[in-house]
Amino acid sequence: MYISSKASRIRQREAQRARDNRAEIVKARSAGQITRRDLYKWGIFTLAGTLALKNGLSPFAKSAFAEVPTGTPRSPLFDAVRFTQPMPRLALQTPIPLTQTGVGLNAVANFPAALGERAAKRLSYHTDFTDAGGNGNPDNPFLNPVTGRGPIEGRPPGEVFAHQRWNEFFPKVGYVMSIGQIAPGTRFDPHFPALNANAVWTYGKGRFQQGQLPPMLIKGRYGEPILTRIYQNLPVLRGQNGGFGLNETQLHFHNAHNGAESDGAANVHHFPGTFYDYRWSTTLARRDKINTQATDRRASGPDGNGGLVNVAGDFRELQGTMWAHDHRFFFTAEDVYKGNLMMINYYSGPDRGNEVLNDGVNLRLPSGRLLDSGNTDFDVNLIISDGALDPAGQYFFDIFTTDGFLGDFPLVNFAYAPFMEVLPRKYRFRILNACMSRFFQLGLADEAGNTVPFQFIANDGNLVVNPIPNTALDGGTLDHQGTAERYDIVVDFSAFRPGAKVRLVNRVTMRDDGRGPASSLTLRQAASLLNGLGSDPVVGPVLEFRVVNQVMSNDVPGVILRAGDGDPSVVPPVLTEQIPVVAPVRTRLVEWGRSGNGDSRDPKTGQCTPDCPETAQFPWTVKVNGAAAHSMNANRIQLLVPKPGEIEHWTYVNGGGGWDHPIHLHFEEGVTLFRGLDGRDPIPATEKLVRKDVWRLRSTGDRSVTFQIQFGEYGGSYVNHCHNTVHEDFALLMRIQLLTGVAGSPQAAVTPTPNPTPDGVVFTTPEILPEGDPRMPA
Amino acid sequence: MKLASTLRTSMIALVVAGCAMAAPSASAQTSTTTTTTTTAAKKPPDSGGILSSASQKPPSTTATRDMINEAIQRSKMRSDRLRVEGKLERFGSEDPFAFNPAQ
Repeated sequence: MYISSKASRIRQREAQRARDNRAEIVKARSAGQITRRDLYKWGIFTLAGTLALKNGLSPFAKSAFAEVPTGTPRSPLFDAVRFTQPMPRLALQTPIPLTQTGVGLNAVANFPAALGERAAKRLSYHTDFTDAGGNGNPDNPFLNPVTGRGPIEGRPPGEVFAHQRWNEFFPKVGYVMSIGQIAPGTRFDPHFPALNANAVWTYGKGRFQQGQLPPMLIKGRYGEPILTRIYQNLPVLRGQNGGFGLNETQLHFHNAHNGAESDGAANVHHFPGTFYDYRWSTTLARRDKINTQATDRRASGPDGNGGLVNVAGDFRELQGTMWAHDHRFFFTAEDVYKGNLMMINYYSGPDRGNEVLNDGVNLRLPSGRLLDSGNTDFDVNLIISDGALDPAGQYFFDIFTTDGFLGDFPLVNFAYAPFMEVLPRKYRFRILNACMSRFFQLGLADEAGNTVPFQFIANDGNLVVNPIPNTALDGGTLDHQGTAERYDIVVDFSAFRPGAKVRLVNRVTMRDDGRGPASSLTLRQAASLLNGLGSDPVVGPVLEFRVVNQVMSNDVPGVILRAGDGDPSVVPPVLTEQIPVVAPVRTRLVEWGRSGNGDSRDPKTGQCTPDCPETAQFPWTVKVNGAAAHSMNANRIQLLVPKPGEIEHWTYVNGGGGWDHPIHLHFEEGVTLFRGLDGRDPIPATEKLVRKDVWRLRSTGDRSVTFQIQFGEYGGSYVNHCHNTVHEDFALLMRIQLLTGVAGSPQAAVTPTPNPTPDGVVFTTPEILPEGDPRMPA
Repeated sequence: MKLASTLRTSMIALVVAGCAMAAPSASAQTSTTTTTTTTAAKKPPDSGGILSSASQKPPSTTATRDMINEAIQRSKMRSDRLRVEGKLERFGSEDPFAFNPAQ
């Protein structure tokens, strides 16, 4: 995706000229100087919707100087050296206690008066805006205060987008955050230039603070529902985006068990000047079917004082390592890459985040002991991604690519290849692949390139039944980790003396055309590439651990933790129990492929739902049960689940053509059954019978994966999509409709499609494709 | 043809039965009984060895083993065509294709 640093100067200039020209097109489009029609007329876009393979435009045009595709010029690194800056820990947020006034459906959750925040309610403030006369009332107290038009809250009005099960999961704590321009002086490395305000858009604490890096970390506890209020402080004008990113956002809490109104992917993006109240319920799945009386102590959350709060539900479905990110349809890649993401750890009775409490429930995994739960001294979130810079050192993204975007330098928690000091003891690492398109294959190596052992304990936030030693894995490293996948591992540094170094190493190369992983180096080979592979600097070591005698506590600043403190943590041989595989009520086939002719646009109006870039075309499409292929349309239901609790088996098949796709299912996790027809393809130990929410669809073998799934507790409109976010945007994504809400609620039926506008949300009736609707007669 | 179809149906029944034997019933996982239907056995596929196109079939709200197998074979065909002929993928356009259920 980018040219070699050894390429000739002429070649480098050619590639830079192509990038400049593409930027000019974007600028001219933003300014209204040219239209999409112009671009077609001039042959800049092909009928298939891709950038024409012209020198001076496309990164894939055959160069006059070489036989390989021209790529983006290499990012300047301004003499930055790997492993010279400390790794920042994610910015931990402090929960705000909420108080309840009122009862029943009218109960409201109040923030402390000093914050000056409106109370959080079951119905959105858009409902109040509409009831008060909408835009027609100039004195409407619920008007967007920045633009003076439209509602103050982005959550759609009425019962369909009221918080489901409001009283059962009434929020006890809250967070107030704002998505906005990056704060002045922020940079990925001390040597890099400071980022321009519109180069990165990310979260700041409170209502007005500018965005900050590293990203935020929220610690959630089962039994303590959360109300997260997100203010939208992005520039009002779309063109003020630093070249990429859209000022319309919806925050998706990646696979938390929430109602559709808080999933952040129900086509409910909101606009500058507004806020959105997400209720992150901490609901434990199957709470309506299993352990309904909350008598199982394993189904529980920390109470803040060393005890437990029991919750209803199936302890085998407890979740841990999660994250949240933008999900504005058609712009997700740009927005997430730009910084619209955070991580959330859920803590439970078994996965307490305390390594000393011994009550028969707590697993005592490496974490720390200074807090009753949620210790992070030895439990570390790692957001690993790849970035790219333009010649001025500003964050760069190529909005014209429809295949995938690869950066050419590694970031860990948004710092360029940092180091972290560790004590000689066990650590847990929660590794998130936050790239847009890149797969990782990570392992640990000492300075001599020898493999350092680890144990794999959780996949996509779900504990595995038995820890898996790295010796059971291919090459002694993790399997390929696609975008959005989370792998939790435990590493024991006790074998190392202070002064020793251990590096986290990526050993998989990506194909030049961006289709997926190419080949894997041995860990030893990759570990020796201290500055990364010449053709791909993100292959090689990305993070260095330095074993030391003492470190500062992350949980209680000022406290010094020492090597001699001992290590009371354990990794028990059994972490949870296996969810049985049963004969399904029905089976589904979903194919993900590249047809070159998606139907996201209305054939009459040419508009997408929601609106998409004028120049966008949709090469990616989804088929359900062998029927016709479709690309994303938020007003089209492609798959429908008729009622809660039915167990289904789904098979995903890669449409072919050599692509790899990390496919993500919202809201529920599936138990991975097998790969290939009847299981004839190999399956990694880290996947077999393991719960997941992202599955890699490989480009080899049978290119398929089958899993068991069931839905319950909440319902509404969710999505299923490729998490190569570039594929997702163009538009490898389908709406799924879950009629799995509480009986009698709007979410027990098909819900209308919200269509957000700056003036408010309007609803339309969705189309339902018959092949995905089991209610249809056979 | 009839023999092939019978064999296929038997294979599917065996796979489903094997799955059920190897695992507890649905009620072992949940507190309510789940009705089990095996649509593959109820509605045998009919595409053995003939040119087929998914777009010509009426929509099915459940997938059979043959449908999955056909999708896998189509996927391989598309990939092979790209590799050998250098042609772009035709996912969704459903080029003529010989499905072999025994493969």
